[in-house]
Amino acid sequence: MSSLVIEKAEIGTPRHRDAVSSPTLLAAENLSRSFVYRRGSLLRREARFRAVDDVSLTLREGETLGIVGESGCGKSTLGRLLSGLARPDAGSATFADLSLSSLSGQAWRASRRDIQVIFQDTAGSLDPRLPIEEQVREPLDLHAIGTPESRVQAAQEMLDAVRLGRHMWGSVPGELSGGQQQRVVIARALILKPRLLVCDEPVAALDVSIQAQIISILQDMRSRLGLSMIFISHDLGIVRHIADHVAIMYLGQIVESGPSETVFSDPAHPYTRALISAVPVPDPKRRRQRRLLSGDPPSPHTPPPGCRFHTRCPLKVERCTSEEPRLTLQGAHGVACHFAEVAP
Amino acid sequence: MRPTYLLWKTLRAILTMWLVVTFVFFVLRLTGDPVAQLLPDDVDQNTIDFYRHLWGLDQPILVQYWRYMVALTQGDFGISFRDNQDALQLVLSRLPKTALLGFVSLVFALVFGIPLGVIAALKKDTAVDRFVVGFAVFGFSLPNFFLGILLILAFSLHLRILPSSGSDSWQHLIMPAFTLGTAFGAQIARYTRSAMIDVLNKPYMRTAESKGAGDLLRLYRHALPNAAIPLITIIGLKMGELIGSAVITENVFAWPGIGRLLTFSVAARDLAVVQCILMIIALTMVVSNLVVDILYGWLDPRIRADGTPEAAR
Amino acid sequence: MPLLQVSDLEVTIAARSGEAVKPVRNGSFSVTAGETLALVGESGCGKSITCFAVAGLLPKRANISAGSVMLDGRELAVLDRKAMRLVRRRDIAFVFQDATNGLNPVKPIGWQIAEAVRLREGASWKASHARALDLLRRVGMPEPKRRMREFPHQLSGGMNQRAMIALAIAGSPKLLIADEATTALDVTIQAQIMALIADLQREIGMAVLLVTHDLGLVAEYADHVAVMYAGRVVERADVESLFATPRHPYARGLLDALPRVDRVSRELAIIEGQVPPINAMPAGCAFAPRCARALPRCRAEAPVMLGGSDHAFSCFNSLPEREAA
Repeated sequence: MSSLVIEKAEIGTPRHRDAVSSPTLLAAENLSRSFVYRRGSLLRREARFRAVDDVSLTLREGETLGIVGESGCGKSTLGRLLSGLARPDAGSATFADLSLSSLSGQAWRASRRDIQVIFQDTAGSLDPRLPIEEQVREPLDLHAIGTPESRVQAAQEMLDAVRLGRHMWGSVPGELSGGQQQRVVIARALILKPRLLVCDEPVAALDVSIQAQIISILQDMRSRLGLSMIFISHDLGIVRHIADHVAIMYLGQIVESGPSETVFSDPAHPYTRALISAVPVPDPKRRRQRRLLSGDPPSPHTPPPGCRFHTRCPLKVERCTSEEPRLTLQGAHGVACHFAEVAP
Repeated sequence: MRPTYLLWKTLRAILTMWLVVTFVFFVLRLTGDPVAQLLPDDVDQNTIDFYRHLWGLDQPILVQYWRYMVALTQGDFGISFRDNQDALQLVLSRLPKTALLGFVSLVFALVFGIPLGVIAALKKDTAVDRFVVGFAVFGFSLPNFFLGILLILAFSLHLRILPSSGSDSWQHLIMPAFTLGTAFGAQIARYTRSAMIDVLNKPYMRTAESKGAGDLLRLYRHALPNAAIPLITIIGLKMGELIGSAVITENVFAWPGIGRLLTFSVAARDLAVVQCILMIIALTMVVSNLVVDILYGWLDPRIRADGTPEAAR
Repeated sequence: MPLLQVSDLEVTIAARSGEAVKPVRNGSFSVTAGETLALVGESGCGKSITCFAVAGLLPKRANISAGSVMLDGRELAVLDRKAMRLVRRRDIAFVFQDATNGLNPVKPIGWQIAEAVRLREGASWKASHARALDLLRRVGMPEPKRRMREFPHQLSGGMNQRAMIALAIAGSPKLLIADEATTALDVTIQAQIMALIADLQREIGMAVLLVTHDLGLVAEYADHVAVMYAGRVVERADVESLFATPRHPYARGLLDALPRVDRVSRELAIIEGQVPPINAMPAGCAFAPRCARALPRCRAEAPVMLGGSDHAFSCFNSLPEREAA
């Protein structure tokens, strides 16, 4: 079987690292961020909603945290808060003892070296006129790191590392495919040797075969550079594959979090269960009876009272409509559901 | 929502009008003395002072402004310096001619521009399309006065079948309306074409095709209602240009409307009349924008009654 | 006899420069009434164009340049636009990927469905509106009466897709083509929509042509599969055989490249390189430049379909029928 495929990616980092031994790299406490969804005027108040509502999490050095949820759940906003690209209204994010929410201009710029972000839209984040080799080198030039020769060498090594052939180095982004552009973006993000890489849907726009290439490059770079990663995605299969820990979001809140294996093989929150059950599995012998959720998720602008999931939850009781469940931890596994407290 | 929306729009329209009046008032008064312009060169200083006092031009400019605004609120637009007529009356007596010319030109432009644009879009990249695009470029790059003079040369001087100036019969209307309508129609054809090309490529057009709807049904049920939305906006915005071109066209054909009156009044520094005309032009534009806003809300359900796009759900 | 039999389909698009490209070069597959065939492949493989060709919805510059499309014993490839329009009214319905943009933004949902009813069943507007409301109820639209009057922008993506399905099943078509119908939707909504399509399929007895890049959907909903690569169907089988013993290296590679939610996948197989551009197809097998099993022959000569009618593949060096575990 392995003879067919040209290359197999090895997972660089051990899956179940000893969580206690590595120090905390990023800690978020009670992060909230709201946005205006209807402008105010003389005649009416502006309307706001909380895209991220009271989220706490930690990321340990060398670990990969997957953030999963459906569109509008606030996962991208959370990613921006955790990478310091957006400031929270309340709560704090601390990166290696630096508080991201209160950095001065200079300290903030310095933090950019340690935290890099890549997005789904590669074309939008690349300069359409600059040859890719220069784009990858640019961060080194800007920070004036090393000699000009060493920068060129570092950029070329990085392009090799993301498996972009030498014949493409002089190309401009328009001449590359989506997957190749994403490799350039990764190379440029990693050239400064950051400690944290935040990936927001990095492969959502790519075909399956190209997606696998990018994921394997990310895994490869992760082990080579000892990176910590936050991987934001709607694709549960990819997150299970790449993340050590996972946080499931629904309407701005984390409803379940914990080690990937626990969450995926033994999900405790009814939303997590429904979500996993809804993902089609590529195995015709395992066609399952699905737990279909009825209805659409409520608008994030007007979340329901009590447990936000109660409008679609099969387990709903009276209490769920009025009392908001808190994320309660059992070891590393946290669940925000009134039933999870009772059920083992 | 609707009443407050209209109230807002009206308030904004009034504010716009006030800004226009104020701007015109100061600019006109800061660019020269109307008394010196109107009176012969050899009159004595007493006469000049007399007229200055009579028209209130000896007062500080802010006092003049205050008086003017107070008078405006009572519907008094001042007196024409030139013939002592009420300025508003004078302008209103010329307005029907301009309105007639503008309306006929607009109808002409729409009747020719829209179908040409639609045909060009349907036959994109064919000879028909290239012909329409070529005509459109020709139509709007040709200056109005030039086309007007060409027409006069051809139909009045050479063929002698149409009168070159005046407004006594419907024959007098043909050349000015054609001149004004051609330029506007060419622009409308061009915008219709691009709006239609945009709409024809939309996924819902393919959905209509997948239902088994025929070409004509798809055109008037699906494509035209969508293409009308950007088109209405552009036509509304271009109304200002139409009025501007009307001033030139009226002069070329000696069409006795407010455009021609404006030219005379500016030359004569007849402040009250100029001001009155500019206000009417501004009012036309403000009203046409208001009409566009209302049409827009009616054509496009995505625009809520308060004019802001509905938040994504 | 299959409801739809597509044989050696070739689509040619006249490019502006005068040269012609062939986004579909060899499409052969069939669908039986009441069954689901998945047409699976990555972007640009020609799966959508194949469906447009079947339904007569090809863009102006494109045409069926070879092959045959038989629907219920009738050759569609030779029909003109007008005749194809009647085929779409009676027999073939389409559900597109992006329902929110696939519905007319300035027309009420109810009107859009009623228009389809009117065209397909020839009913009056009044009767068509009544039937549209029935259809909305049938597809599980919440508050159907209210939705009749609403516009696409007022509905969620999932609700719009339900409306699109209601519009498609008006007139009970024989063949429903679902072109990436759930790709733009969240996974919990996708599950609802797929369940709905499967339900309607049983009820109406229609054949479904499921166009998708998602092998998970294929495994869960399809009876048969045709895998496309660079404009050709490279493997065709029933769903169990394809997933258990894929014979074409590309099909195998796709399956192994997929991270899965139901188990820990320690490693993802990687198919290096990318699909060759449509105007620079290699002389031999289009997959040969990316294929680890490629032989010299593969680069020189395009393979033809081998194997029986139940499991066919086009490969000179195919994978063995049974693999050692």
